[in-house]
Amino acid sequence: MMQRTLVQKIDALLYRRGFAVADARKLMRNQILLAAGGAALACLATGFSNWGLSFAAGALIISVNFWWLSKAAQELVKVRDGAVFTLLTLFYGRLVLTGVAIAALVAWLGASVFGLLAGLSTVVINATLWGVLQIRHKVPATGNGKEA
Amino acid sequence: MRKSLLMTLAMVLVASAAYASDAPAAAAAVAAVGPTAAWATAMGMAIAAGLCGLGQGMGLKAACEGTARNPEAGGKLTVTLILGLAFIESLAIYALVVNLILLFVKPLGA
Repeated sequence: MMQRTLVQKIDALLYRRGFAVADARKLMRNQILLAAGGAALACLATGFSNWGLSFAAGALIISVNFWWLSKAAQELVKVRDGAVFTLLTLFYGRLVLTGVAIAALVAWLGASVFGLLAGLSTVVINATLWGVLQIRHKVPATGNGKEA
Repeated sequence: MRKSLLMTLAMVLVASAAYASDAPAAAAAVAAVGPTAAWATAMGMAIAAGLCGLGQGMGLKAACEGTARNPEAGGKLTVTLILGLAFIESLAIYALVVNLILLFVKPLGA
């Protein structure tokens, strides 16, 4: 019950923030839940060690990145002219900001590189899980041969 | 062009092996890893960012064309596009992390 309320609240927030496409909203919601859950689990399991905090930082960075990417993609698909240029500008802008954040974490704050990489991989895990679930939903149920 | 690039690469590799053959030269070679790592980082990031940007642009172009031809499939195309872009972007970010490790953590020496 509480889980459903949380999901509904996140969905409502995302809808208000411009995630009009239902599947894009679900994807973003899954990413938020996976990143938050994974970060909490990593921090608690490792006793708020450097690895756990680096995982949380990586998950946060990639989730913010994914948020911007999803919002931009929903708008860009409708644009007829200049979409590629806008996407490339957004891509490089985002990459620079991500680079500064990761450089600060690795070089100055001494974050664990493996924790950071694991946190950054949450988006890949989310996308892979989404793809696998979509394929499973689309595969028709095989009969027992007696239909014919 | 390709031949000259390969020749340059071979000369660089042979030269570093020759330098590493005796002890003082080996120390010099280890000291030279720093600038080499910086160059490798710059080149690696440039290649990764350029190719990932190109890939994202091509994916978006195809999605725009698909939506223009069949506007009803726009929602499904958007989700597929987001997934593709996320995968490509994560590749760029992995390259960035590896390059930052080379630059700041220095696993190959100073």
